Amino acid sequence: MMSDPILPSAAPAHAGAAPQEQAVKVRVRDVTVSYDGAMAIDSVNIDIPDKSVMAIIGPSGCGKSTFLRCLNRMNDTISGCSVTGDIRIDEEDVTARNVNPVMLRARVGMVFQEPNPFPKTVFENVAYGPKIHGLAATRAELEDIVETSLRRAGLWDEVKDGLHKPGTSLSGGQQQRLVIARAIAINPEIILMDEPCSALDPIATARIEELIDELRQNYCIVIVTHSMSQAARISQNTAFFDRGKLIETGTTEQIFTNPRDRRTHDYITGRYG
Amino acid sequence: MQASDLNTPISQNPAFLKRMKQRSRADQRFRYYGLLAIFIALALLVTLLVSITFEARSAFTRHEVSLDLQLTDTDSRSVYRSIRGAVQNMAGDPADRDVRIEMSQLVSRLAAGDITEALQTSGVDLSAAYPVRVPVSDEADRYLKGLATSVHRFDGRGYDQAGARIESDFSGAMQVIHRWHREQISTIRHREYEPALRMRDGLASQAEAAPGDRQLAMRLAGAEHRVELIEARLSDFEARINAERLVLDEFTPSVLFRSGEGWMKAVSISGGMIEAEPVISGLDPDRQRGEILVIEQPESQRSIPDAQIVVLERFQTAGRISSHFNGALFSNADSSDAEFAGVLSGLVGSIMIILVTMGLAVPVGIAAAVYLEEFAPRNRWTSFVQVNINNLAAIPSIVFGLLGAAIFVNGVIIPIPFVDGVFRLGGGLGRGWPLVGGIVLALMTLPTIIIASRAALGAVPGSVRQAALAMGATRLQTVNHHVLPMAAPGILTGSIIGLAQAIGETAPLLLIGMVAFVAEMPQGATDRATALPVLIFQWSTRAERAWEPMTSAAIIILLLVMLVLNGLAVLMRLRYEK
Ligand SMILES: Nc1ncnc2c1ncn2[C@@H]1O[C@H](COP(=O)(O)OP(=O)(O)O)[C@@H](O)[C@H]1O
Ligand SMILES: [Mg+2]
Repeated sequence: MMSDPILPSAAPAHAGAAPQEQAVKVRVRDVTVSYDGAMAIDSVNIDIPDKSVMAIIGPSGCGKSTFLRCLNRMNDTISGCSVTGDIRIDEEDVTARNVNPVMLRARVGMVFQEPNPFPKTVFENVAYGPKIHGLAATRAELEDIVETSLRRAGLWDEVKDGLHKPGTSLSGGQQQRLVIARAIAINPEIILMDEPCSALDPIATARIEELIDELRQNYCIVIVTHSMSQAARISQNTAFFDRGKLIETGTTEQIFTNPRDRRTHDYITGRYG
Repeated sequence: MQASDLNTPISQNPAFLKRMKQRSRADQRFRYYGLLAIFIALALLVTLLVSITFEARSAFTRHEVSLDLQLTDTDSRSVYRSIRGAVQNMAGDPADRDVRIEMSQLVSRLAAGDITEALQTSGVDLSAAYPVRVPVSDEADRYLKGLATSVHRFDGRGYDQAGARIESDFSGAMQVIHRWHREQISTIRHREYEPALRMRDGLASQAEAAPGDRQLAMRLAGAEHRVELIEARLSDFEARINAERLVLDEFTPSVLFRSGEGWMKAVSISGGMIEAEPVISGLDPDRQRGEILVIEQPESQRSIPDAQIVVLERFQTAGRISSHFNGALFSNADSSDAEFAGVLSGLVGSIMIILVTMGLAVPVGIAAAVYLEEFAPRNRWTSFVQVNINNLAAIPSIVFGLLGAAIFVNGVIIPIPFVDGVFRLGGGLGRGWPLVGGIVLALMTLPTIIIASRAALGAVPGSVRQAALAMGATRLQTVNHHVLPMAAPGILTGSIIGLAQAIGETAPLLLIGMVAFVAEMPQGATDRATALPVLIFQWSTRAERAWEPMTSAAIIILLLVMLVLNGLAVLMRLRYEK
């Protein structure tokens, strides 16, 4: 029933602090994606506000990752994948043919489920984006960017003595923060995170969550998560997907305390079949 | 059944325990099979290497003779004449023309070439003797290395000479000769007499069954005759063993008698004396200098005649024969005389070929692999290309040789209809050029490199590509910065394997015309040349026995080249993986 008590862990941590209205950063209209003709997400309409965290939740295979990949056009790299519809970032159509996906991906960073640092040094990992996009004119500038990014990712103190060790030699949690540092080193506007904590232990997860909460000040963050409590803790808005459809979207508080749809309710109370 | 009883804990289930034992035994067995396989492979490899090295060892040294030349001029003809003179002088200046020619064959005419060159650069005083060291002929070299025949030496001190008769203790020599005869008898019995007997008996029983068959009767008569002939030879040999006095000729071992510088050759032998004819001058009257030599191989069965042996022995006693490292093997081009032949031209040819192959196959192969793996859409067309690349890898190399000969050397001739003419497609490159060889081997190597590179690229995890693309790297940047460096060790290994294969190829090179005898060093990629494997093939087909160790030596050098190449690959891999 609608009045069923919500799981205690799903109670929003920031309850009380009402999320302030933010300008819309990404406007998604009628987006449909299919793989080799099989529909993966169907006519999704959603507005993603700036300077906040939007959590995408839903059962496995419902199209969360597919949706995320629409936002930086990583679906273009998958053969057989076709995307239709309209996606606007700051009112600018990014699905148009004449938009260079390389340009788009510089504006929209992405963090994957498995930490995937390059098999290079910590320094090279963070410096890669600034290098290829020509953001640093001198070595000193580059070093500055690397340090700032690592500091913002909360990793600096742990790696400052081992900048020239391979990035793959760090622990899983450190690798994930390294990847976040790498993403923010080119100062994107949006950061997409696809289940960034599912391969991490609770302590590393807590660190990443803290980090996300800090990054929210500067970026528009879209995060896919399987943990209801995580969604509740870190996001201001939540979208619930099921079988390729966007079922419901709203403030996290509203979704978790007063879901409008039966399926949302069942899912967040763990009653989903 | 007990096994299906779910109330028994698994650790007490007898079916499980039995199966467990079987499984561990299967595990063990598999390990032993693996070890056995490795052991067999290693043993074969070691056998191969040891036998080749053993076979080749005599090619790495050669004997040289020191001569004092009386030069009349510095051109190569007169130099050769003085060399011949010096050798004949050692042979006691024989009057017989045949013997003189035999003597001159101890040193190759080619020896004059090197000396002439040296003379022209240094200049010489023609009035004084000019000391040189020249290699002896390959047959003489084999004799000095003990490969041509066994030589038995016996004490001949205190001999007595009366004209052609020399008295001394010849019992040792007799023993050697008798043993040789007995060996011959046993060989004849085994190889000729017994088969002939079997043949005769078989025919006899057939003839008995078919008494009217005249053809059979004739064949039987022939077989009987053959048996009789062999029996006669055998009894002749047996008679010789029992004879008091043995006549020696070119079909029996030779017995030579020396005293000091003088040499005589026995025409008959008995326990206490020989009858002999002089070979060089008379015997030294000092009776304490007598020595008996038995050359076991009959003169008719070896390519070094007794007269040459005598001269070599004289040179040796005079301290003029010395053994040296055979540097010519590494510094000379091919030659018709084994003592002057070297692998350098083949090595240079092979290096030029492999440079051409590498320059073509590696960049094209890697580029093709990168395109197919990283850029090409997956559709029917690309899978068609891929299947055909795999097919190409399975084509025998000799076919590539034919293709190369047709396209690059001869050209494809297409008659033009209605007009009395032909159109020639391709062609124009020369037969036996390293350039052509390199192109053909590049075609052959290309599929190997493409397949290995694709496998290496495919093994790079997709997460790396995603990471780079998501950072806003272009596809080219993704490939160049991340995928290629990660695939480099695999690509490198594939390329080296392909090139190593190419270095050892013979058939395609033969087909593009690398068959001729090339005694000069190739001057460039568009000059007639030879290659190491071709040289090995050619040497292995040459008749003289001296080419056997030379062939093995060339094989060892080819293996060393491969080893160096593989070593380089390992080094580069290690550097890349760091
Ligand atoms: N690369 C792909 N090729 C084909 N089908 C895919 C691909 N990626 C995802 N899909 C399909 O699209 C649907 C949504 O997948 P995904 O977006 O990964 O779901 P989620 O991330 O919510 O678990 C699934 O049915 C999945 O099988
Ligand atoms: Mg997913």
